[in-house]
Amino acid sequence: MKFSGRLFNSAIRDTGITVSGEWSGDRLLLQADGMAEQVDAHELKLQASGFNNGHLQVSWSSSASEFALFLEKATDRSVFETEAPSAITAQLQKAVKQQKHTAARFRLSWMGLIAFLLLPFIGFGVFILKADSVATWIATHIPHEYETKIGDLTLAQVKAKTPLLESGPAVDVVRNIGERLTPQSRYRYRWFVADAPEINAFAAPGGVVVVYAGLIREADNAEELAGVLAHEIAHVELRHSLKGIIKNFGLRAFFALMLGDVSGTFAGSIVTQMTELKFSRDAERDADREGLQRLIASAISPHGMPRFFEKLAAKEGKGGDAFALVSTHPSSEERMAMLKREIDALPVRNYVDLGVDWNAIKKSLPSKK
Amino acid sequence: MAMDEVDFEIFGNEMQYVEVELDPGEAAVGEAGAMMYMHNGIQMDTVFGDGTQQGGLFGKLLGAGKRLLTGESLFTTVFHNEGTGKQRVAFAAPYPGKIVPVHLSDIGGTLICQKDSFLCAAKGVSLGIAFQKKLGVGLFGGEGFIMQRLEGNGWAFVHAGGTLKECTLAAGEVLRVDTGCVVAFQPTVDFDIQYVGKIKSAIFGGEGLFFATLSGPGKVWLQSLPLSRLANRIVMAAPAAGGRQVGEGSLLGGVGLGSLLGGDDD
Repeated sequence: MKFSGRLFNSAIRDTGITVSGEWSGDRLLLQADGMAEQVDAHELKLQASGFNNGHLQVSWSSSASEFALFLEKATDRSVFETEAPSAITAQLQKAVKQQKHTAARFRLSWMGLIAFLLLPFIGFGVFILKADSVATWIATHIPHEYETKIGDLTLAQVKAKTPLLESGPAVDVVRNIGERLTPQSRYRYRWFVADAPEINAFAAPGGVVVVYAGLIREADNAEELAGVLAHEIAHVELRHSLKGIIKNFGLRAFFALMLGDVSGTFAGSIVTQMTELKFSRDAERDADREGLQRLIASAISPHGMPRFFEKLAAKEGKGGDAFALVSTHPSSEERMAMLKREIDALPVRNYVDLGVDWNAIKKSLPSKK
Repeated sequence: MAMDEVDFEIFGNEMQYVEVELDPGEAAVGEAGAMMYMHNGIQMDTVFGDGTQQGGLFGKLLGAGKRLLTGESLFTTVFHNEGTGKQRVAFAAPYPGKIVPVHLSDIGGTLICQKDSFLCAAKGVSLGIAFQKKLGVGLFGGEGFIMQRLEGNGWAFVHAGGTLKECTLAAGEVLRVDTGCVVAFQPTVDFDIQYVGKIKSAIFGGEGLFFATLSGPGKVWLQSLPLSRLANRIVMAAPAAGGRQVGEGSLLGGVGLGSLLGGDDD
């Protein structure tokens, strides 16, 4: 089979001429208009050459002049290579290796560059996917004092909006039940009752727990209050709001970096969010489970917990007024079913009587405005 | 695709234009915006890509994408002679320098050139992209990683800055070139870089850390003044960019005695 290449020699044109060549045993025969050349394979020197080492250069000297044959096209080269005599096999392999080396390095750096350019996006993807575990990891490395500070900030903000009761029978009940639920906690809890009609309760980092008067009025007994408290305490103990802040902060910082927009509003908005933090579904489920365990550990009947949530859900279904607790806690059938299932699976046991005169507590609340 | 054999004539000395003569039915492709004038019978047709893609939409998009990478415009303009007699169309070089006519079949059908240097060609010449695969050359060779590959067997015109040096290297002959001065070469030429060799020259020599080396055999075209160098000097000298006003008859220069004596020191 014939192959074509470009032949350079000082005697012929400087820019080379197109020749066709073929192997005849150990001899390389070349032909072009008006010339013919042949050379023994043992005299050939092979190397990768030309732009990008993309050519196979075959050079030899005969009658005191130098010849160089260049093969570029893959088809020509494969003919040359497959029919090449064994005398030049080693050189041929070396040249091919040289070529592949150049191409491979180029490809590698290309991929490296693409990977580098994609890095922020990959990082972002990982951040979104792994935000929970990253936030958890960071949260465990934040000292409790900071949590307390965030709690203080939140408290100050709530105080500015809503009057808080810091003493009285209702606060005492909240504190008593709360302290039963938080034995040996690493936090110093502070308990408040907000004088507001919303059916709501929230917990800020560092152990600030606020129960709204509306919630106490809505509850039928102390166990229902305990259920809500257990849930909120679980948020504190599991550091859900802290993780939420970290996630939020991380995302904002990331976007600020990406978009080059560092707005001053964002420190302020963190505090705002404290009071209306939306927890993720998983966080709610974890809080339910953790709260349930706390109730059981302190021997308080857990039945109040699903009952109260059920009550809220039913009311919400009827389209009653704003039920903050329900709206910030996406209470689903599934969640309640889970709670009930877990409670049913518990062995029958006696729970302590909280010994609270619930009606007296309700009456002690400031009259509804 | 069959090549159109065109006749041409280059006018001007340092700021040139090339006038291409088209027989009826012949066509030339020009870089968008390069056309200077054309005779009456010439039809201008703007095509997406370089006018050689035969494939469907994908082929055209690919061609256009390649053109974007090489710094050309997305479109090329095809000029065809729809008249009866010979007609002429001219393409002007965009900056001071020389127009290099290369007959592709003389050099084996392929020319590797600096990106953005293409001016015009006979229809049928395909404009491709040639990645510089040697990392060192791509980084320090002065031409970047992306070069242009012109393929075909008709006339192609590329543009060089300053004065043109055309030389033919014998097999094994090596020419060391300042980076950035390489305009085009035959693909059999090995384009590489070489460290200048001495720390002192590397730092204070003003030639940079590396030379570009071109090893034969094959033909190479060099430019004496890369556009970026010219642009750099112009910007540095521009008063708006902090250059000094070198006005006529300023005894002590713009504001003080200093510039009076300064004179024309550029």
